Amino acid sequence: MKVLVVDDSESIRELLAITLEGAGYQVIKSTDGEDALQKLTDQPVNLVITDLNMPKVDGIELVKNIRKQGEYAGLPILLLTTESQVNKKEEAKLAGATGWIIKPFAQDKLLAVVQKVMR
Amino acid sequence: MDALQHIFKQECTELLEKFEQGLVQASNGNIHNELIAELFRSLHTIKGSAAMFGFQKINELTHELEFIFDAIRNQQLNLSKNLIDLSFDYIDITRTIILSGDENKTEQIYLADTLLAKIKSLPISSTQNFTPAKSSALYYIHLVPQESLFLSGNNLLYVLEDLLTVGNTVCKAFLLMPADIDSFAFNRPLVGFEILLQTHASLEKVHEQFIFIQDHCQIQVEEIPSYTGNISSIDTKHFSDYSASTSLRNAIYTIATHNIENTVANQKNHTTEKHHHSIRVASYKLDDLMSLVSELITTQAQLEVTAEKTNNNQLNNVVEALQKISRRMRDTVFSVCLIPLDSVLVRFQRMVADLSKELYKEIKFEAVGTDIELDKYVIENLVDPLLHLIRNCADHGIEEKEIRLQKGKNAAGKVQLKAYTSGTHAILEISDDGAGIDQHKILHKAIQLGLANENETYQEEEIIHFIFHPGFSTAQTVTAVSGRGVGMDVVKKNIEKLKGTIKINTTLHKGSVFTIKLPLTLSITEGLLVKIGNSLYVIPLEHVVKCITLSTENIQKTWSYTEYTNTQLPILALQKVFYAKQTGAYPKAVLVEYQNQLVGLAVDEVVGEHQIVLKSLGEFYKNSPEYGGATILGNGQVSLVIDVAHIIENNINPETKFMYGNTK
Repeated sequence: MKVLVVDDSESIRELLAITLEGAGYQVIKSTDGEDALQKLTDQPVNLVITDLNMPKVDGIELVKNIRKQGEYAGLPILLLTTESQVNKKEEAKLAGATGWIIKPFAQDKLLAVVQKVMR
Repeated sequence: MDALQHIFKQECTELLEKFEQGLVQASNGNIHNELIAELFRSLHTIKGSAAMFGFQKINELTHELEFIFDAIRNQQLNLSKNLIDLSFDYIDITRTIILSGDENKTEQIYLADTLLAKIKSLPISSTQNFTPAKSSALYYIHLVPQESLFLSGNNLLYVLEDLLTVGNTVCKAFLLMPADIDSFAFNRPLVGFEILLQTHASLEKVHEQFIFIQDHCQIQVEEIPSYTGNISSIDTKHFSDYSASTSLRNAIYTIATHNIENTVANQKNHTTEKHHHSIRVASYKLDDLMSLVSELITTQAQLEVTAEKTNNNQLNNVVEALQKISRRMRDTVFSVCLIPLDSVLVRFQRMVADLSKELYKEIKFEAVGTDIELDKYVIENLVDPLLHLIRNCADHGIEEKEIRLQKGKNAAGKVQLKAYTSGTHAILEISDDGAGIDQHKILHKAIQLGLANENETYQEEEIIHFIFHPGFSTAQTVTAVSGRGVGMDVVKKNIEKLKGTIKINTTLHKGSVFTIKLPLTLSITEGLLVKIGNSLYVIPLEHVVKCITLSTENIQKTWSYTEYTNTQLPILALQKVFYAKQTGAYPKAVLVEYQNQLVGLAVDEVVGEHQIVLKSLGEFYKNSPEYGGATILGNGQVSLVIDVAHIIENNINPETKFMYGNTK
């Protein structure tokens, strides 16, 4: 199972990677939306976890772009966000996000959400 | 996790630099939208990471500043000179906190709070916008999940948890019983929820919480207008008075009409703080509970071994579940009696800060490892002795600034409190880099007081010991701070009351170290089970850094060296120490930390982690400090627990000082 992790913060990216790898997932790391789209065309993944606020292509743009490509219609996408951005929920949902995880997150909660979405 | 912390620090430092560069550009008048967006994003990333890595103060500060920059981004505010200055302050404070890795130092908290207050007093700040004058509203939410929810990848529990971030909730579940028993199925939702949500947020915002699940649930949200009280102040007991068939909605309506006259008066008294109810329990009951849990864990380990032999999967699953529960139970029971030493730290910090002023000395107080948790009773009784020792260090130990400079020391003196555990003991070291204790002065004084005999020769330790005599003080002049000679004897008595010991190491002109050794009342820890010869030993896990395989086939000497990450790592062969015969070639080494240095302990086999119940050793082992205790393994075998610090210390050759030079 491959997970594409997109976040411009290295520490959050690594934390996600360590958590997911510890649970047996294969993690592909990406620093922004543009890079993530490139990585997606290179190889298929089973799940995308992306930050909302990023340089170049932001999280919502990324979701929209992924959904535009027919082959990724069913690909679950989780948004990673802070509490203060809750008003973006509507926008994210419309763009086609599957769900989201509020930062700071507990590692077990993250895994629970991921497992649930991957099923 | 340590590696992550490191990445976090690095990243934060880089982001701060980027933010700083941006600000410099802005202060030169070169302000454009791109730059503001950039500044905002830096802050946003810092905030997210800080919260993830437990830096609450940075998170809070950044959140406020981010809000300001959001307003600037939306052109509600100009990036004024004042704002730029505040942002520079923010950089300085955050940088200091990140560098020190500890945001709970008094001075830093003070600085951060001052800045926080400044930001909050700005015309636009988050607190003003998030809590409008509008009073809170009460919403009744009726939520019935549908089958498709389970397939949608959403977890209702997390949605409910997220609701808590919006306001206060009271939640009540009800059963969704199928009409007939045949249609009963486990993949159908069986529970619905009634939720009362009290919040300042708007109806839209409440609806927003359910966006991801609204296609898979029946959700009704309605505002209950008549209730003006605070639902968190309502005892949930009230709700259970209403039978299961009465809905929460009716209940709140009833309560609302009952309370309506009182609420206005009550509201003023309600604070938003959550009340933690606590009860007093006789301590012997806790002791009983502790020893029962210890027994439980030993028994559980035995069960684990027995179950494994049966190869019965069902049984093994149950045993595994039992293991998880007993671990949690152990942690909970222990946490009941434990408080971190940090909780009293602020008193020491304050005292040193005050003393620093009073004595016109520059003194830094440093706390290391004070997140160590000790029995509440122990901590309460430690505060006075620690205060006394730290005061002594600051007053007698640290020299005047001029003298320090003459001696070639830093102008600022350092008093350190270091805490760590060693085997069954908690060790607290109070040290200073001051003048040290002059033995001649002490001996002279001791002779004066008639405690010592002029014609006798005394060992270094014996001489130092005199200061524990009641009424002993060498201070030439009695200062207001300390030096009346009441004290060290009391300190010693207090420590002994806690069944502890106190030792002093002092070097003239270098400083003194007071070492307090206390038995840990708690007796269950994690350990690494290792095999040496044919016996099993336990190395407490808190000392273990890493396990490696040695490249030498057979170890010949007690001490040897091996190359490890480009340094020579001393290896102590426990086989030799315990006179055991090495079993199997290529022994393993357990790397432990000893006085800030890595030392390898060579063992024949690393068996695995083990939860150990420490039992103290009997009279027979009184003179064997290399053992910290013993434990009973799952198979009923007794295994000795190694006291890492002692075993290394005992094996350092006093003449050749094999391991390294400067150890006694």
